Amino acid sequence: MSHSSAEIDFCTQSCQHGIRLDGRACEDFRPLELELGLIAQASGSARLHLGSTDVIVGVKAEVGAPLREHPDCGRLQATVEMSSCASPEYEGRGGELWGLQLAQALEASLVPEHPEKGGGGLDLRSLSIIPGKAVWLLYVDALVLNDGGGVLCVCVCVALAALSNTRVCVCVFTMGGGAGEGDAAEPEIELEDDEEGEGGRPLQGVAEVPLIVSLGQVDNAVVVDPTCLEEQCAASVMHIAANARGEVCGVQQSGRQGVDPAALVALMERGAAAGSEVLASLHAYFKQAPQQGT
Amino acid sequence: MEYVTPEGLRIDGRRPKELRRLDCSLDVLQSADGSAVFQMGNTKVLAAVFGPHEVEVRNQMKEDKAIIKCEYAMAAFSTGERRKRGKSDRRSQELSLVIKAALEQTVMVELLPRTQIDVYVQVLQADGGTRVAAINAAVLALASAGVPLRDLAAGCAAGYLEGHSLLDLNFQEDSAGGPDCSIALHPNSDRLVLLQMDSRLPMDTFEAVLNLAQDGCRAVASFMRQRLLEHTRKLAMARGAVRA
Repeated sequence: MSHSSAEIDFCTQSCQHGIRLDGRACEDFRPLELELGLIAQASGSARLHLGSTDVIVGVKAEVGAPLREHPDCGRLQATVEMSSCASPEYEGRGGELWGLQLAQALEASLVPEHPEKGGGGLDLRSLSIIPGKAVWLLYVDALVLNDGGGVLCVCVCVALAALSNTRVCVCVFTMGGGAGEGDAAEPEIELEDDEEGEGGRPLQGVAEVPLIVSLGQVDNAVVVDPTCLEEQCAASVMHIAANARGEVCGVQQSGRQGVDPAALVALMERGAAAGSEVLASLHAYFKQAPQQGT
Repeated sequence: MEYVTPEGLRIDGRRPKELRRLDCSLDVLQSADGSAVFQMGNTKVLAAVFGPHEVEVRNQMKEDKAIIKCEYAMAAFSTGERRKRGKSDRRSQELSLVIKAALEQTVMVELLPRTQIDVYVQVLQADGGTRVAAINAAVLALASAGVPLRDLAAGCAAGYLEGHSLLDLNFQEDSAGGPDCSIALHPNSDRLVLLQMDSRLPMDTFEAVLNLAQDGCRAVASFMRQRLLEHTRKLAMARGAVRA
């Protein structure tokens, strides 16, 4: 969505005076509205509105082969699709490149770089079924239904919500009996019926996933969670990944005019503090939210 | 596999001539001019309408009527087995054309010359009958965008399995291989704006299936009409035009 220069001027000036057009203070997030388990056919799903930004995520779990580099780790694949329903500019292959970029960031945020060592995201080791043969494959598919700014932050939030809502079946496997000697007996995987009515076991390490917070630098003011218009006013937008303990896990700069390295540390601290605060309230909500089966 | 038990019940517990539970909500998206979610059982479809606006590609402009663009896409998580299908796969493109054809007969295109209307359909959950659900969602979105319509077009599918005509097939029944007849009807003028049946079928059976599907369409149409009226009343009340 593009805005006129007058709109951009107006917004820039109000940000300088510490006033945002939607009435927020500089460090406030937009109101957040979360819906869990709305896609019955997915293993986990969530929809999140952050202001006017609207994203649905469906998680599907399938049994598949592990990667050769990590034979005893499960896999996670994230995709982000910009739905044409958001804007006609995403028609056809319109939003493809941006979707790829977002998916890359989302995937990096959800899983640790070296899954065999664990730490810093979902514990993929717990998703192994038969080491080297079969693992759980998690597909995290995000669908952006409206872009009102801060899509990356929302994608991570809602993926987190969907993963906290995801249940994978408990597997029992038996070595195929009666196979000839010397043959590698093909193990058979059985998905155990869930008895507790919980639909399986929850994923491990959801609480470790960092959240990405965007900070816009509009002249000398810093605004948390910028809207579309504020993103356009900002000289630079910093995307800061922070975990629940307030540690910075990643950072990326975007924007038009670059960022002053001297201001960077203060920005990152602010982002990390905001991120851990939102994460804490999200996890508190996941705990008390009714657990839906799949 | 048995699709209708001797007691006359289907896999999901319905009677042969019973629709699935219908639900819809209007104006669900921020930036679209009109939008709607339409749900038939587990099939859930979102539609967004942008326009009428200026024609983007000049040589496609029609002097005497509006042009309609339609795009059908399925979310990767919408099907039972996860599958990433782009918007450009052949089934999606065929469906885009089918929906577009039905909508062109429904919108009063001659009232909006030299304009373009974009209709985007996004399937969130697929469980049979996505093409008719897509038409229903698109018509609701068009109505909520204030685009003039000749009539409400309501879609419904019906099929024939094991000697029974079945209304509103779900995915399991749809993939049983029997004939499947998808139609969309203008209920007031009694005109079919979509008719698709790709199977060999005796004439009298076809007639029975078609009649059943038409009854389904009328039921869907009255549901849609009622929801649209409720929605409009709510909007009017919010503006103070009508008192509760």
